[in-house]
Amino acid sequence: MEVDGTPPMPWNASRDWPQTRAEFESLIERYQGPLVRYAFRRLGNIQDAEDAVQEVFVRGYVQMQGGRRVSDALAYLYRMAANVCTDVLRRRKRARGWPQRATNEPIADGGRSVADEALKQESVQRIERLVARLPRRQAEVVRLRVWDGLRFEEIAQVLGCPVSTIKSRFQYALVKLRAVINSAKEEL
Amino acid sequence: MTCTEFQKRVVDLLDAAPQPVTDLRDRALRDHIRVCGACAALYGELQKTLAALEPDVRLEASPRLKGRTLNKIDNLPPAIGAKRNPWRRLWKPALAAAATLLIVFLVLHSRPGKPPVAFADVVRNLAVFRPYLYDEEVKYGKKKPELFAHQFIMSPTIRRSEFPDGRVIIFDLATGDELYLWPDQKKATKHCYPNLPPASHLSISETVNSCGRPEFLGTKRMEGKKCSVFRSSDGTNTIWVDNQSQLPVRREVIHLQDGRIVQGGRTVIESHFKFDIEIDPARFSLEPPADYDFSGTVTHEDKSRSRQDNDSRPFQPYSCLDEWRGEDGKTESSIRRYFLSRTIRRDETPDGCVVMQDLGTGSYLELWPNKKSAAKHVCRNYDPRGRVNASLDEMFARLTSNGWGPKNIGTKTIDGKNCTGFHATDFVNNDTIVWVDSQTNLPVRIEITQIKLKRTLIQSDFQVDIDTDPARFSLEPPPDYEYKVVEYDFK
Repeated sequence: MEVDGTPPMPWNASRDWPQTRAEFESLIERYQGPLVRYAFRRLGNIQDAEDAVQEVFVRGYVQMQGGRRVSDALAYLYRMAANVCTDVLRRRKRARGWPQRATNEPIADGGRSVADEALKQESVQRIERLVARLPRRQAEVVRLRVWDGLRFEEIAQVLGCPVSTIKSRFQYALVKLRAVINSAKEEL
Repeated sequence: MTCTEFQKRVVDLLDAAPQPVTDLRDRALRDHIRVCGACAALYGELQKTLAALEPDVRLEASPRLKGRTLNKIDNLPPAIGAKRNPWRRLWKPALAAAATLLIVFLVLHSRPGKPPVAFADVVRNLAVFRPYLYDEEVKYGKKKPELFAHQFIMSPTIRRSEFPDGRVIIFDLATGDELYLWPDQKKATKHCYPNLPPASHLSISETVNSCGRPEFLGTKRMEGKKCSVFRSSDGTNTIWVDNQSQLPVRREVIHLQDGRIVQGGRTVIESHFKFDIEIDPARFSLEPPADYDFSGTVTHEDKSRSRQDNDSRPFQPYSCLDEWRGEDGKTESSIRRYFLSRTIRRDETPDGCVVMQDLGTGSYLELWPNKKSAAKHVCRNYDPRGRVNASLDEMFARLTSNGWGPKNIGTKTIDGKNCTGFHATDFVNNDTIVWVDSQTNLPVRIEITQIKLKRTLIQSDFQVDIDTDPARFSLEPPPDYEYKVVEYDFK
């Protein structure tokens, strides 16, 4: 719809909270990947990560239906994901001592296997080992960019910082990590 | 594009999903890489670092996740999926408002009503004097109260105070005489204050009466008794009155500073009152006990006149270095002082400030020679009584103030001079040691330890041959100085 000849602003999934079912589906499409990766970083288990993300979107949909106004969609989704992951970890802590699922049992969904999951966990741990050498704020930018696969603009929205700050943090982080990787190679 | 610009913006090329290179700036970055080897190498290094960080296998959401999520959304119970009632958003503010109203209601209705004890009855009960005792404590701010003395009031003018350090003072307000007793040492001294200005009354009845019509604050248990609590209209006196006996149980008096209550100020607490106690007149006698070593009577100056007017002895101008040392022996402050007379003094502080004081008028002049600036402080409502320079005469007076005079504590060499030491504890239990040059009979070092404050004042480097040019002690700012006049109130 045009008002006074001005074209409507296109819906921006990272910024605008969806108002329609179609927009909500686009939101899921765009951010299910980064959110699953984020949840996997926190929970270390793909099944739990996907369950958590599903819970995030269901809660988000209820909010949309309730007419809730959200100013920064992506930051809101990440906050919800963080809360859901914290709940899962808390539940796990409470359930400690109960029999766990056998580690070699294949995970039904998507035909993924324990081997797949182990490989991904190894990736997370390898990145974490490197990122751990960075200051906290730079490390968080690297995680969101490298592991979650967000763009600088999206990272800025999640962390509530200007894009220029995110870029400079990322650049400083890369320069530091380059030195770390080079020195590790020299030691070998 | 310069190399510096490139280095600042190279990170744009490392975004997660770079936009198609339509942007002129990105194109400029890529153009620069083509022509600058160093920047191309930098970009290559950063790319390699990023590649080293990239996960071996990128985790993607299951293709079924979206469908599963939408399916769950479609199957949500209608109550949850339905549009929220907008009034639901108001429940929190409404609850908060209701809670506030409830608190206001409770506060208004819990205000104390009629006191179980009429304050006028308390005043009436105390109108006829009855001997009593109480404990007097002092506290500063929120610090723990410290016992000052056990007080025994025999009559509206005679009081016996027993201090925690063992001293006993019997005081007669009518004559201005004080008897100091040290029961453990069997020693006694009498102090006489002729023409003592009218002092405050000793009787609690006067104090209670002075509260006028105090505000009733409510009831509270105190010392195991159910009490009514009253506060004087100026807020300085709080009195707990036993509902049964209608006599005071506790009193707290806040001492004002500059006419107002200040944080950390002094509060005197009177508690554990006992009325109608049995009185042995011998315990309140101002005559020293027969078996005590009595030093005699020390007559203090007429306090109705200024101390400088009282003292006609000649004054020897002198200078000394004053140092205050704390409990750990470290110097807290030092100051060079020049005494021109009993009232005029010049102080020079290590930071370059010079202060001239006139204790006769209460005025003083601060000078900052490095800034050529000055401030003249003029005192309003000044009372010169009791204000006198801590001169050598005063120092020596301390040695005899306990009535027995000082003890010779031997000799020692100080600053190359053979000195004799004298020690005395004054009547307020401060220790004074004076080291006197055996040849000139002039002081070389004076140490005064304020036991209660755990501080020691050390006076040394005495000089009697000082420049007494009145200009050095003038309270008028030098003509080339910028200055301001500040008025302050002595009270």
